[in-house]
Amino acid sequence: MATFDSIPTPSCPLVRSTSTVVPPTETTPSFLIDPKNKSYKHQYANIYFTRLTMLRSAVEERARARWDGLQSEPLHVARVLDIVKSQLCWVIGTVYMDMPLKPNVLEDIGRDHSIPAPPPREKFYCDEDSVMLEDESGRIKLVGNRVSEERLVTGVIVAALGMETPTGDFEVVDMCTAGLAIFAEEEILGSDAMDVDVDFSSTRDEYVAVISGLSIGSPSPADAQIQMLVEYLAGEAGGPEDQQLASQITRLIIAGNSLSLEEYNEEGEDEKRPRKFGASTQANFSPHPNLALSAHLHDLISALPVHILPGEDDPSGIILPQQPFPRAMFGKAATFESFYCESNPAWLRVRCDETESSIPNEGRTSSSKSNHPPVTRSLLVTSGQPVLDMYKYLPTPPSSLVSIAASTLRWRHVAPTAPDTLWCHPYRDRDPFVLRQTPDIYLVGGMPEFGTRLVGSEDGSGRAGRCCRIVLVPSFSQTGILVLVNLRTLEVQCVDFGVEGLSAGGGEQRPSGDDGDAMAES
Amino acid sequence: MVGPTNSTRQNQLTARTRTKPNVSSEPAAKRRKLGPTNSQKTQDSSFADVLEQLSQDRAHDGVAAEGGADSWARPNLPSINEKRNSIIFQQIDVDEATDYSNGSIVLRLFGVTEDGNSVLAYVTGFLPYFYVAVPRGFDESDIDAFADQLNKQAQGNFVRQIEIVKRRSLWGYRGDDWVLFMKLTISEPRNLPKIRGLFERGECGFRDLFPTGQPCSTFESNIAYTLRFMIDTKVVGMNWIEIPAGQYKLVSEKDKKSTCQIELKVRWDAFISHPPEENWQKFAPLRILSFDIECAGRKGIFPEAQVDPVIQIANMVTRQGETKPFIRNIFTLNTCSHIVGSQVMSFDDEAEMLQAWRDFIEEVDPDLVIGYNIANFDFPYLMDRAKHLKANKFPFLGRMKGSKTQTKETHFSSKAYGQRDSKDTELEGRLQLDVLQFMQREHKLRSYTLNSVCAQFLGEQKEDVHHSVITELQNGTPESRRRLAVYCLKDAYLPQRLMDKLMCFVNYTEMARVTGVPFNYLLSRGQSIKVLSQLFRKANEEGYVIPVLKGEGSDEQYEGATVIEPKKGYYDTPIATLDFSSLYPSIMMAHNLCYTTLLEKSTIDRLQLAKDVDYIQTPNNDFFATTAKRKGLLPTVLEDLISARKRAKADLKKETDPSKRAVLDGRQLALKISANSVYGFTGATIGKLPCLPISSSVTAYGRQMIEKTKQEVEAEFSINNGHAHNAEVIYGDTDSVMVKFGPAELEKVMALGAEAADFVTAKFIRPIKLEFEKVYYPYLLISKKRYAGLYWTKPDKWDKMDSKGIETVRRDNCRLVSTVIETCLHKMLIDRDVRGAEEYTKRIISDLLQNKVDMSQLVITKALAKADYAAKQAHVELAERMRQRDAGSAPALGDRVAYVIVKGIKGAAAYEKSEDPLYVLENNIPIDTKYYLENQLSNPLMRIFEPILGEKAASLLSGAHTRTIQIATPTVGGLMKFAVKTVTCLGCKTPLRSNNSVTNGAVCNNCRPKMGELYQKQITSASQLQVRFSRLWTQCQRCQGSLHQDVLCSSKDCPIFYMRKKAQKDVEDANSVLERFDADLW
Repeated sequence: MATFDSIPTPSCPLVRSTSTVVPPTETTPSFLIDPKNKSYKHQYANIYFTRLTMLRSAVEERARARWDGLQSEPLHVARVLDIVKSQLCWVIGTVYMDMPLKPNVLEDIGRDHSIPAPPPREKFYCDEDSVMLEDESGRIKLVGNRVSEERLVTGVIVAALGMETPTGDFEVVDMCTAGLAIFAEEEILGSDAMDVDVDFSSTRDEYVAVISGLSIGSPSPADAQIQMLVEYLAGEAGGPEDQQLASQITRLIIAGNSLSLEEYNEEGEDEKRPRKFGASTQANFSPHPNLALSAHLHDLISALPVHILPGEDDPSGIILPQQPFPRAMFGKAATFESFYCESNPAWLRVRCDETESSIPNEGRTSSSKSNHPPVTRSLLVTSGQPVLDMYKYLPTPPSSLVSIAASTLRWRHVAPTAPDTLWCHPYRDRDPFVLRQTPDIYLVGGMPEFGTRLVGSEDGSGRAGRCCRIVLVPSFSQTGILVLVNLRTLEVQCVDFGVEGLSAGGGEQRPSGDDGDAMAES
Repeated sequence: MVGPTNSTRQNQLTARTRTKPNVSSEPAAKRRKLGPTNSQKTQDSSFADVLEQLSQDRAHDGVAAEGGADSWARPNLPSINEKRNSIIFQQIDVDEATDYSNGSIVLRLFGVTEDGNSVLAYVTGFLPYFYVAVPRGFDESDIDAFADQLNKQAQGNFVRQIEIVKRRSLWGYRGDDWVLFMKLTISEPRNLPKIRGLFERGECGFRDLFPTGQPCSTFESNIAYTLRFMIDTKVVGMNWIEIPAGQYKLVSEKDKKSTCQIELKVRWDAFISHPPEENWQKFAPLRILSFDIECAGRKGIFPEAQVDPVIQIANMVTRQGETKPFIRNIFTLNTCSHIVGSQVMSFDDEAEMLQAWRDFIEEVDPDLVIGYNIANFDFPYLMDRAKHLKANKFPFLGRMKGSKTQTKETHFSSKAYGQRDSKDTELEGRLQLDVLQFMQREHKLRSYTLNSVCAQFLGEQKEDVHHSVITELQNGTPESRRRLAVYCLKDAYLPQRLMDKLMCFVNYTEMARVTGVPFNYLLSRGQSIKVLSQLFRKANEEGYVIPVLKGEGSDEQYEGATVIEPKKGYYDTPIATLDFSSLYPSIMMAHNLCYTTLLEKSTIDRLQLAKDVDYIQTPNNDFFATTAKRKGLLPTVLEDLISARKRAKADLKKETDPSKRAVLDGRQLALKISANSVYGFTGATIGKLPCLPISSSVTAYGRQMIEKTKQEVEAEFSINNGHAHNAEVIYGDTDSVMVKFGPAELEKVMALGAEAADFVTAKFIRPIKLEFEKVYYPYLLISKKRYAGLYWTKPDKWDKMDSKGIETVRRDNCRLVSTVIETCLHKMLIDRDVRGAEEYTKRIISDLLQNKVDMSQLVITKALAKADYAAKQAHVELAERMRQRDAGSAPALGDRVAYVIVKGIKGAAAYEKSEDPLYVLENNIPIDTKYYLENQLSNPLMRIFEPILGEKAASLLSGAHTRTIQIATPTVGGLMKFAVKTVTCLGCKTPLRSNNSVTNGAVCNNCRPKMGELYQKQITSASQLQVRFSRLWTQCQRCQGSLHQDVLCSSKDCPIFYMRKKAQKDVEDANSVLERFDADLW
């Protein structure tokens, strides 16, 4: 290597840790739209119906546990319509938020086209909002403080306990959601292993790296940082420690927004001009951003497996679930088997094998065995649209992006606001966004800033139960942050590719976590 | 409906029968906040607290029944002592009826007291009368003999009294002498014509005073008895009546003929009629019922009462002045699931249901019944249906016991509103207001369906369920019937909301009060009765008697208003508009034009009147006495109206209470309309009292004044007089002139306008006043009565865009026309971007030719009124073709047919080329873009562009932008059976074959290097379609108010109805193109 002098190398050659993708299970369904389901003939009512059917029993179970012992013996009614007036009862249904500020297509159509459209709102909520609970039989308005405290969005399945008022509203005294779904992957034996020997576990654990928002092709490109990122991940940058850490990264997930949409807006401008004869047949898209991305991907894929998800700004269908990019789009990178084009959202099951981690490693092979049993982690990755959409429903504070992401786990639904305000495919008989298991790691791309939280089941009553690691992955082009998640301990760290004044090869690590529950690494 | 969904609305409907428990303010609730995260125990106790509170609330308020089921009846009647209690009520209707106990005619006043008790007052003793001029030689001593003579000839004891009084005729000025008239009081209204006939036919033959064979004209003999009574007792529509204690007799419970709580008898001169001023402007808590029925029709046939059952009747009852209905219920045939906040009453038998509804009406006892098209559909249908079912107890919906309600055909003809056949179902003692009729009268709209009216005035789309779907829902489950019921309830509530929004009831009430006619006249009668009522009141006060003219209905036409020939063009300088405020009324006032001042040449000579001192000669060469001789009656009426309006407007400014404001606003509007209709009354040749000398003189003066204004302004504001520019009058019409003063600054023009207005006003007789009101800047003058401009009243901000006579509401146009015209005007006038407007037009035309315009923009709708038209018409032909295709979904008689014009064989007439928009979408049938361009867009576009572009305007319709044409490839018909589909390259449109591409691929080999770009392009357009699909369909879900049920709406008025169908198809097409990329080599 020509740069032998300038790049410090570890004392013994580093070998990249590996992990394997294992096949999906029943509870980690694929988001691919199969030919059977691709029709748009169906209406959205089917999704709501399916969702309610899928989640009803889970909500009911928890609601019973919570309310059955009450002295006032609330009555469980099967349908919204069966609510008995002036009697305490509880019912399960789908939440609908009636919000006057929601974007309204009728207004858009009716609007005078010569006046530019008002900019999209940051938030929808206002004082006139009302919360409805509905099922196939009908709907009822929920009132009371308890309702607003619950911070609901459209599409969530909840149980509400209360009483119908003379005015026909439902005065809610308590609410209950489905709560966390089961953790389907086998639990790591001796979970306290992660507490001892921090130094040890940190040096030989397997990581998964996540970025989002490379935004190649945007007017303010982050080319330098991307180059640094590629070098870092390939183990060609930074000091020995950096390289050591980089070698433990078993795979990279690109959670959306790799390309920037701004390039295409030109066509919108073009609409204003009268079309010249034959003009409209020409393509208006520059191939360069895609070529640049393909080149970076090719560099990366040579070093480690890469999963790429489409995001909101990517040239992909905008409706959820976004379907994988056509592999062929990425040129040579597409020829690697370890290059995965994923849907958005996507379920990944990753296994860190015992054998993989016991590769000769400073003579500690034998001991590593006991500390590195094989472990399978389920990852749920989205490019962030659902969380950003729900963010508009709720006031901040108290709600934050991370609290909303946590809520989706308790609601057992990744994207409840689809299809109301988040565009989604009109499925006929399934709702793939329902969580039938809680992922171990929940990665949300496309976020404005980094954030993380551990979410455990509430039923634990004090005992530290099993947790899901939520990570909000910020836009790389704006923050220069690469997030690493320890597949064994679920710890998170950020690698910050500083914008200015940082010498090449300097990967800065910084403590992570906004809730204090994520362990920082020095 | 957009925005608030179905059940939000249901909840809005909910009358608040108690205050909501304010849980948060209670200590219990504070603890409860911790509830969910705390242990079970805390939860328990906090729940208990909350529950206790809820139950306390309940105990406190009592359980309010769902949908107001327990508050049907009116408030209980306090006991009344005839001797001590006076009875005060707002009368809502006055009519005459036969008192069957003695066969005499009585007047009935129906009303409601301030406490909400219903009242029926029989007014006795009022006898009709009329006047005849006393012939010379007839004196007091002849009276008895004359009365006997008349009675003998009429064969009955009809003439009760003859009285000699001093009066003067309304018609013409004949000097100031009072003339002797005899007032003949007649026993009963129905006998009056018999006596009148004797005079009119010249049959009375009383000595030589009334020689046989010589007709004698009568005065005031043709006024309706009810109106006569109201005029004489100063009762006006909807005013308050006070019957003092001791002046009435209550009718005992067992003798009551009506369902009113109070029934009494009072002499006609023993009550007080309060003029609607100050405290008496208020409203009684009138009960307003808004209802809607649903019928289960058969496929393809409009419901017929002989066959199709009434399945649901939804009702909303609101008290006047309250915002929410206190009764919400629905009567359903067959079971129906519970509807939160509404009472559901289910019946197995239709006749039973109808009967229950009738009983409901009797108990709720509405004072006003409203609905949408109830007059011509709901009521007649219910009547016919009840008859068919032999539900003989049903048709008793009025307030009189045992009086059968019947539907009559009525024919309405008015110069102002045109001719209309309609049905009338009188509900004795109750008012009716069909909101559809109100709309047709007061607003000119593109469409009068409830849906489009709601979209227009409430800003909401309404779910529209086709009547064939209604039957399906009815035959389904209790849930599906519930769905229907919710829909029906919504339809019952919308008329109420429209009425509140448009203030129909308040404004009409004020109109009744101002003009003095009963409320029910307002929708069923024309303009002239209102003027006549006012004229009588005023005339009788001043001792005039009104002659009876036999309406000949002459076709005599007189010259109308003048129009200064418009100088067409686009004006980019401010154009000041000078208006004569209330021109015609002020002309009549200024020149003292009236029946009472009209002079004959002979009278002038006889009285030796001096021109311009005692009388004037109008430009129409009629003569009128000046105020020096006699103040005219019409000018007095007008002055009263105008000063009353000024007062109302002043009060309106001061008033803060919204309900009183509404009343005052309604009043000033009614006064304005009344003042303006006086002129029309004198010109109505078919009317009761036409007087063409008045109306022709008025218009002649108007013409003269417009001309004079033009001259004065142009002479005064000229360079010669030291102004920077010569003012130029570019257009003038009826009561306004548009002046181009010259300066480009708004402030300057506004100052000049105000100056000119004052300058010209000074030249005219008071109260004629030229006002400077607004500036148009810029201004587009197309032709007579067609112009558009940006309207400014203050220099810093424009008020609105104003356009007159330009295609926006014509129904036989497609929506595209009005969209394009509106946008163009907007661009020209607001953005000042004429080029932009041109570009926009070219783009739309190009879009049209390339098949990119949304279908809903191209749809034309027409009602299928009758089965065979003489001439072939597009919508009739289409309905027939659709029937052949599928009789079930074809439009039935009464439906509105939506169609688009599609390409046909060369030379085919337009009616042959109409096609169902849905069929067009499904089968990709090409649209006849040429038709739309030439028959729809061309004329309106040329009209607005010609003044600007001149000759060049035609280039909009032909030019480079019209050369790209895309024609859909139909999947049915003609040659398509033989056509073979070939895919083409997405890059260069080369047909793809095995030798130049891969199987099922996207591009040809040559274009492969560009594939990335092509993919991105394709995916971008697919994304847009996906979003469109999602947005449209989720909107429909919101609108129907349910997420879990499929959207059924088929509202053809909704702008997204076709769009969403197309989106469905487009997105699938786009996705299948995308798939080709998967198969290709990259």
